[in-house]
Amino acid sequence: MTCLSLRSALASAFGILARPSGKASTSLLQNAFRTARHQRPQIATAPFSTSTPQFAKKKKAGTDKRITLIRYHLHHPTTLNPRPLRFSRNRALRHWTIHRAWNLYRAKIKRRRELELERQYNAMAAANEELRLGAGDGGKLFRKAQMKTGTWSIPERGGGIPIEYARGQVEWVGTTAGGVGGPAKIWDHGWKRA
Amino acid sequence: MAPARAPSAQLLRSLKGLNLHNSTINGAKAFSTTCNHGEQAQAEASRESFYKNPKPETVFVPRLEKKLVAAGTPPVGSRRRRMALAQSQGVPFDQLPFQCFQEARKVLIEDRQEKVKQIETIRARIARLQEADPNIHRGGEAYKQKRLDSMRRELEHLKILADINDPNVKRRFEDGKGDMNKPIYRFLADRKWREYRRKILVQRITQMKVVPDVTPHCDPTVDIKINFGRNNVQSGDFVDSAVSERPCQLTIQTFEKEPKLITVAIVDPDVPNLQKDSFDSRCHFLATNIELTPTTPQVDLATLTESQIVVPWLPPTAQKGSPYHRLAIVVCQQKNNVPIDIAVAKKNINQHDFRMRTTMTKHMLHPIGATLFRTKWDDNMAEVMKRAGIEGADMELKRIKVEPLPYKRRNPSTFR
Repeated sequence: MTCLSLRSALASAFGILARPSGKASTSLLQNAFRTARHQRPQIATAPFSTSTPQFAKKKKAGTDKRITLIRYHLHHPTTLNPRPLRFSRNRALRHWTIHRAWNLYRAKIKRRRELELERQYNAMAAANEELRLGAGDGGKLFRKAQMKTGTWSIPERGGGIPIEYARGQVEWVGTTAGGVGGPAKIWDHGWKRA
Repeated sequence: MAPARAPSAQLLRSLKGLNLHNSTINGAKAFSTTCNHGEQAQAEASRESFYKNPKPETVFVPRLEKKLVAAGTPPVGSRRRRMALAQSQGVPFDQLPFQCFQEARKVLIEDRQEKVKQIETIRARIARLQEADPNIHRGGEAYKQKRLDSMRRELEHLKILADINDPNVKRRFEDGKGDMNKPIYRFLADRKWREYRRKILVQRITQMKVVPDVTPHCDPTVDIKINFGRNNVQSGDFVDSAVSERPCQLTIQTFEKEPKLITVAIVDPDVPNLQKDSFDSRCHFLATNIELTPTTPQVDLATLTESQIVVPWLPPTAQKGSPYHRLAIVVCQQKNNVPIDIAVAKKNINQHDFRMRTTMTKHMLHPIGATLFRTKWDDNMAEVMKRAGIEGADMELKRIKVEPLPYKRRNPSTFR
């Protein structure tokens, strides 16, 4: 509502007819109100015309650019109907080039990470194989190393890591506040207006 | 918009002062596979000679436009565009001073160099494998051929990857100036065809039953366009009999490098046979041993030589009252590109009881493309049939009326 009134105020200030809206009665009322307030004679225009009304023609020195712009934006509100994004040929090609380069760059990073993971996995596998065959104990050490019993259990009962540590601990699920390594902070209770 | 354009305009002006044009031209060439003539020409356009000999690309003064029109070289594009071109600094596209764009180009150039290196590697590997003795592998010769095939496929893939990110390639393809001898343009054309035209084509030939009726199967790999002189015909269109009296021209675009020997057959599977109460198939045109390459897609059925035509053009006709006739155009590849003996083919053919399946089996043909157009009785059909010496123009076919069974009053006891 404020938006509408602001627009109508601006429109009256710059002498533009109100945009034709669905409610004919409202616009009529607004027109009447405006006429009453500014003591301006009602302009006889066709109700279906959307063009700027022609006032008594006087040779002006030239309209101010700013006023033209304001008028333009009142008649073409970007909030209702955004202007289409159209690129020229060269602009579109440049956009495409940048897009392709960016995709290529990301694909390369992804590939590098995949290769690194693969290398790490292979190294682990090789180490295990060495432990199984090269330790000379018939693979006993390897079998022991592979046992998972007690990995996730309660420390008091002799287990290694509690199951809670399977994921990163935060004060409240879904927060990462407090910075890296700092305590999680959801709400700053001590905050006061400076 | 105006404030956003201002800094770049300033940059352009300062760049022109620096004479960057000559210093970086080699860097631009490294990326693009073919030089871009259009932009070079723009760059060299000097404003001094403009009024004396205006160019159709850059003229924008009405008086000079009239002069050009009188000279027979009308101006190109809109006046707004021509004015923009005339007043632009003429910096080639690759050297436009936009930082992000230039960085992106650097990334792409680097990637292309990588790809070129990979291509060289794989070429060397192919050469080495070709030289190698097949018996060193357990699989023997078969294994070697399989490896070679796979490596060649990889090589073709790399060739496309090397060029696919080049904006100049994209521009040239969009302008229709792509050289079909190069793998990248063939790839782009194939992709574009498969995105829309091929889908439509497959739908038409399956819905109108060309595929089971004329050929048992067809996986189109060539793009076929039909036109009768200036009349372009979409697949499945009805063609006026006066138009189709003369042979059509086909544009058969193949997307593979190797030249092909093809056979083109035009078959009408809807000729009514009143004795059998069914339909016959008739051959309207058959030509063999047509060589097809990606750069020579034009096949004018009227100008083929005697040594290629087996059945000359017979105008498509439909009797009055008969359902529409499909004229299926089937393009077949000859096996191993071995030419067909025309005398044998002529002896084997039976034009008025033509079986496409039999012909394909006999001459070892493989369908690589199919399309169709349709014809039906129209105002010119009687004269076309008279000129072609086909009888039946004075006859109208009618469906046999099935007499309904006599009315029987049903008043059994259950109705009461």
